[in-house]
Amino acid sequence: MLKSLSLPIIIVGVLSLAGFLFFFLQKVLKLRKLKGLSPESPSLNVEFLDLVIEKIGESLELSRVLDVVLKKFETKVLYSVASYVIKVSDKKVIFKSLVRPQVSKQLLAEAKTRLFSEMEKTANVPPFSYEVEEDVIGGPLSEGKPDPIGSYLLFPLYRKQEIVGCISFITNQKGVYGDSAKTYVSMALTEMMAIYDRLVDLVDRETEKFEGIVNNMREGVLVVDKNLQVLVENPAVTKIVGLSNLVSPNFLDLADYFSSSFSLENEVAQVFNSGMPKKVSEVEKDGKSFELLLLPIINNTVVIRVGIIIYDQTEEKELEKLRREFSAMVIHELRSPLSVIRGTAEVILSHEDEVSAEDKHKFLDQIRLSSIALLDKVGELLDAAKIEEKKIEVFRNFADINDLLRQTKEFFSNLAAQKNVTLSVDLDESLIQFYIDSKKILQVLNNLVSNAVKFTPEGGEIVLKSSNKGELVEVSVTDTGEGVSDELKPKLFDKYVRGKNTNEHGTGLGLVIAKGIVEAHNGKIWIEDNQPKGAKFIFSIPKQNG
Amino acid sequence: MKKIMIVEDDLALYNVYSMELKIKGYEVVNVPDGLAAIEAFRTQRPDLVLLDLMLPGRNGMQILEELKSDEELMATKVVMLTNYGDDNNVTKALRLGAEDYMLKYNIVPSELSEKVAHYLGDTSSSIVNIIENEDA
Repeated sequence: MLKSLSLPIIIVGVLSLAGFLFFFLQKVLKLRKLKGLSPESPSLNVEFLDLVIEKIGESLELSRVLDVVLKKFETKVLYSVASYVIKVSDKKVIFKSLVRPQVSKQLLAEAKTRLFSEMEKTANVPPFSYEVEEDVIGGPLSEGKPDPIGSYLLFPLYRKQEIVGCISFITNQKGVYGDSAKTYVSMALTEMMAIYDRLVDLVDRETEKFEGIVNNMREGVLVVDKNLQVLVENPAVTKIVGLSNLVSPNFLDLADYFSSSFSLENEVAQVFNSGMPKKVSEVEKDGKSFELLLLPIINNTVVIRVGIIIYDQTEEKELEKLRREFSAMVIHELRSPLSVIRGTAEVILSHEDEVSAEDKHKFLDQIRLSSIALLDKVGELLDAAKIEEKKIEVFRNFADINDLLRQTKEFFSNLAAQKNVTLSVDLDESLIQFYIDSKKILQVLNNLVSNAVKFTPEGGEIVLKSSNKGELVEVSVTDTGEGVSDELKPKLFDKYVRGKNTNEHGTGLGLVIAKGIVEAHNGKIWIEDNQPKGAKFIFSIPKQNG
Repeated sequence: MKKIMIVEDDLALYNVYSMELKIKGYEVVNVPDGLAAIEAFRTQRPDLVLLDLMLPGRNGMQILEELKSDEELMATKVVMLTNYGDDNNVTKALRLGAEDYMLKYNIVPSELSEKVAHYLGDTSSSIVNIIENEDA
């Protein structure tokens, strides 16, 4: 319960992290500036950061940062056309210009030519062999005669010693870009790019951490924006919904998958509108059970994204079912002997005169045996509970394991004979006495042999065998029954799992208890196939000499 | 003498019920094995069957289903007598045509014989048919 409550909180935290991070970084950087860590830098930086915060929000695209910078220079630097070109991928460059009113088309064309040729020369990026995304802001441009080129200023844009673009200012006035203007722009740009680098690095590192957490989560995590584009998706989504044929399913694939149960589109839309988290429970699909949690990711009171967390509850549901069946079984197993005891007493009491003395004796014995059966079952339940809580205690005494095997054989010989099943022992006489809890080991042997007798058909054979294996003693009980399927083998020692014949009586806890006792002796218990047919239960325990 | 067949693998319980029913004047036979039940119905033709749910080989619900879809046997009156009081089982058994669904821990032998008499029409007293479901 604690786990299921705390998990969404963690996830909300993780999802919000990316959003808050940016805000936080900006605060930190701003604070450093204000504390004068770069006293010689133009005051532009603080303003720049303010603008970044205001205008670009979470985006860290260089082009958007440069848009803000150009806008900032509008009032600080005299120009007719301010442009930049940057390489954004191996295929694409962005060319953007801010143009004053009535600047001639030719001047813009000139700015572009100069920038592109500089880009080719200094960064070895010939923009014309790239896809160029072009944008002009401002204007309108004049169709009239070309402006003369008065002054020109160009700066390369460095990221980690590598030129990623150039920025230029061009004006029809002569001699406007003196040393002070050059220094101002140069410093501002250098500082800006350095801040940008640090910001990108920090965000990258945090993103890496975030992805590490999300990718390793057992729960499916998906983050979508308002257009239902997937921004974050972890491998668990694909795995959980079994869409393994799709490398990374998009939102519609996921919505399709759940469409027979509910409309994911509608639920997501509601979260975008209301800003409130939503839970979709009891989603059944392809024999699996899911619960989905939809969380709004809010920035400035607006839901910008929705995080979807998908819990696969199939195992929990199955376990719950097994627990219910187990409870029903326990109730039944306790009621059976009680029904006998009560019914028998009632018959004797209500028909005192009709029931013969012989029958009365038989009935009293029946009450006695049912009481014993009831006590045994209660004992088994208590043993299993102790084992589950790891509170089983071992009281060792100096004992002969072969003797325990002989005793077990004696105890079951009548029952085996009634079923016409041969019961024999095959003892390794080299085994000497050592310290074990002989009462509890006897209980293990009883459980194993009682199962073997139960599941071995008439004419079958059961062998109890001991082997001296150096530090260990190994004991096996083989039968010629139907054996245990490979599927069931690993589950056979689980509390809530019973063998295939569920119509059998008993608590089904025998093997759980056997395993608990063997493990309390630091031993192991397992099952193998007997050849040519049947089951072979084996346990081995270290010999303890003191 | 009317014949009651008790399909029950717990011999102690069979002893109790058979003693009660024999005293009340019925002939009582036991089938302790689920697999042998249908054949026993066919050869012994009981007037009423007390059918347990948990049986070795085959469960009581499967037996009821086959009995009630067998033209020759379908008229046989069946009363479920079990310690499993699951709602679904009760509904299913009654839908398949069982007369009643009784819980062993809930009745004493004298109540059982009264019910048997009622379903065989051996009594004028009307018995209110109460099915108590187990709280799961």
